Amino acid sequence: MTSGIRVESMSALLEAVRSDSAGTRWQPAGEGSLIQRGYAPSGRTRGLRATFLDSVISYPHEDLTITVGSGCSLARLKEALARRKQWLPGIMGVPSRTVGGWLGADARGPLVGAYGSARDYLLRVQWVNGEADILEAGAPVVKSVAGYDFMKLMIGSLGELGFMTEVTLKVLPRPRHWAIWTRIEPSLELLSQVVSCAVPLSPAAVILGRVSHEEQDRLSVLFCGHPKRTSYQLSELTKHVTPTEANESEAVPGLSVVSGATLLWGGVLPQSAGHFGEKSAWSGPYSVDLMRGHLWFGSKIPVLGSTLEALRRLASEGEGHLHVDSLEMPSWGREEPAEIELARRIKDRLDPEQRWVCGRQPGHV
Amino acid sequence: MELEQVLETIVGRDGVVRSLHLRALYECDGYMLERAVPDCVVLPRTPEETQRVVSALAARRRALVPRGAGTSLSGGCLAPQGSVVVATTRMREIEAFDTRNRCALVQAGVVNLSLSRLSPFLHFAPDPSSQQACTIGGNLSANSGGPHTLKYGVTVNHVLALELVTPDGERRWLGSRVSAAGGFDLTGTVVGHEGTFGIITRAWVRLTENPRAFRTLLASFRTIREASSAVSAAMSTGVLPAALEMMDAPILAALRDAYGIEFPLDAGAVLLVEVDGLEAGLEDEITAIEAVCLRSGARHISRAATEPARRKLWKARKQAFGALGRLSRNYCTQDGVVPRSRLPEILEEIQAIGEAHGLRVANVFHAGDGNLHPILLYDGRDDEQVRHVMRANDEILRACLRMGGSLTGEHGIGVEKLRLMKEAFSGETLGAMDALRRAFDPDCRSNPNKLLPSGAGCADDALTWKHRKPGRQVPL
Repeated sequence: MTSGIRVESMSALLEAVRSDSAGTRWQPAGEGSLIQRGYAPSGRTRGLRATFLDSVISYPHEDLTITVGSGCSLARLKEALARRKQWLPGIMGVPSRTVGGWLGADARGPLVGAYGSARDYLLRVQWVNGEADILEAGAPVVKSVAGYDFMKLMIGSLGELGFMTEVTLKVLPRPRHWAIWTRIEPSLELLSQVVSCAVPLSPAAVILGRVSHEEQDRLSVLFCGHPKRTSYQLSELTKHVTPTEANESEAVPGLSVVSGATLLWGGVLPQSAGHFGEKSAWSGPYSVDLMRGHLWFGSKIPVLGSTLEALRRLASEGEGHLHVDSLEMPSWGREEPAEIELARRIKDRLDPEQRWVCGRQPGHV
Repeated sequence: MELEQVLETIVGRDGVVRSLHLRALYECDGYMLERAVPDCVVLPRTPEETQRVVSALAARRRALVPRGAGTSLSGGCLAPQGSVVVATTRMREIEAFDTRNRCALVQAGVVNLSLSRLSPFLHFAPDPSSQQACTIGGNLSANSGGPHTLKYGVTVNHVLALELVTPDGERRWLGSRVSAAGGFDLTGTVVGHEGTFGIITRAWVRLTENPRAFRTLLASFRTIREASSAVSAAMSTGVLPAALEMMDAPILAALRDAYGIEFPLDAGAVLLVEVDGLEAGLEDEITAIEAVCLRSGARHISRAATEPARRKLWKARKQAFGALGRLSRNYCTQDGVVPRSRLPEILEEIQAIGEAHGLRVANVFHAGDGNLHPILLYDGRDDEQVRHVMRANDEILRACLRMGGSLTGEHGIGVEKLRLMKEAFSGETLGAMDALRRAFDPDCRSNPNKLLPSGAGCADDALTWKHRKPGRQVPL
């Protein structure tokens, strides 16, 4: 991708899209934290960043919705919600910096198992298409099925379908209390025991991993909600399995899946998740969500192709898939011809002039 | 060979409905203001048969209308002239029920409630009021909701992957039962397509743990305004109820007569509120909600002290529509959404609209979501009343849009709200929707004349409606 431009108004954004750029395509860009996701763009591509989209636009907190510009930082969003004792679980601990990055890359964090991901929170999206039209789908209410669900289509689209400018998100009342049960260096047998005890207690997360290279493997079970409930959950789990640590707090714990950049991400069947942690022999930071089977691996150094292949084979044993956040390596762990054909048709119909980045999706769509 | 003969070789003689009096059973769905007897109805037994049926229709360039149990309330199953209804109700197999990974593989004709009854520990969370009859395929096509969407979300939040037969006769799996599949979210895009992308034949759906405990209360208010003000107040407690439903006086009267349920006689409206989950903390949560209801003017609060009492309340709520026959010969259930904080305002406007058109209006709806269901009562034998119902419907939905809401929370656009789509979305957005539809169905043969108005594309001038009653002028 060649160097990009910044625009500071909607009219400048539309003008940039309309400009005769001799076949150059635009890549919507935020802070670039997940710009490595997907395949390298095909053809000449320039970054397009809109600095005017960084604010909270409207926040009727009593309706449990918030409307923000796509460039709004996740930190700002969290801050605004915290002031009203609300939160958005889908952005906690995700490896993105802006709302647009979170949505465009479909970044997921440790609470995805219990609370879902971006697709469960995006209610309405406004975007600019290749003809510099401003389109809008969904509605700023918590429930709507009017028209097609472009919100789902834009999530994870990596900028191929247009530039998201404004979004409305569903939010939730923030839990009053948190409890974390932790066991250092758990055995495989213990993993299984903890999962079977913890899941019926409705945890917020059950995560095996190490956040950074220097740490030991750690199994963490997170509970949140009413103080009586979290205390009960923690004591019930502790009754069955002794923790290394057990803490309760009113403060939201620091949450992240790995330290630094996510290199690999994906999922396996939940029943295979525990085994994956042990068998992968990964020496860097990693997280495995034992409730839904989500996976994250981080690394400061590039991995060997053979390592990637071994991990992908392991994932496929759990019916899963592993994707790489690196433009230098084969990106997608799952490429289904039937889906690729449909995706190509969608791209052709929604961006017929190919004004937006191409080639990043599975199948190089 | 004529088409019906070809279809019989695929699905068997008993799978093709030929006779007029049996085809008439498919002339409408739950939206009864418009009817059209289909030329042919075919009921495949398997996804493979569905694919062969669709291929046969594709070869003859015949339009198709997917249909589940026909519980749609927006005319989504209405068959234009020349189209063939493909009903999925014979595909009833639950192919896999995976408790370890908490998911199930079901065919499109599986009844919603039957999936939830398979296990004492797990259920399928979307619970529309029609769940005793509606099918999973229909739920996916409409992105159905229900009373418990407030906490548990709508259908799309519980679908992992689906099998779609597109109108060209291709059968393809979209998505994966393993999370984080990557690429465009085609599964999420297809859910809610209202049959316009093809026919959903199977799906992997997520199963949710059954809550261990419940607290359910009924709060009665003198006026609907007080009840609707209490909704926002209840949500501001920081508690997220599993459900928060409202019913007003006409519904309560019908329920008393139909099911013998005692409601306070002076209740203008009631709120049915439920919290669920682990026992610990539930009492505090329901007590907090009870307190705000009292502060908002609740005159009477009762708790469901036992599980049978709780089930009775929910039976009343879910069967409220069935009780309406005591109030009126016909009724039309509308479906709109407003921000929760605008509920008092919209309910007053609905009342005013009803009065202006000389229609009685009852309300039973998902107050916690701001998802309204005003029910217009009328006599279908009176053409003038029918016209008033249709105009009143439009005015109610326009009011929802003015208040920053949506045309539909869960029933879909179907044929009922086609004309209003141009008021909800710009021409450019409707153009994008048309483009998306053509990615799946370039010739617009799947459920034509639904969801998108003519002028946005996908309107075949050769397809017309057969009207038996005056009603909406459906665009050609």
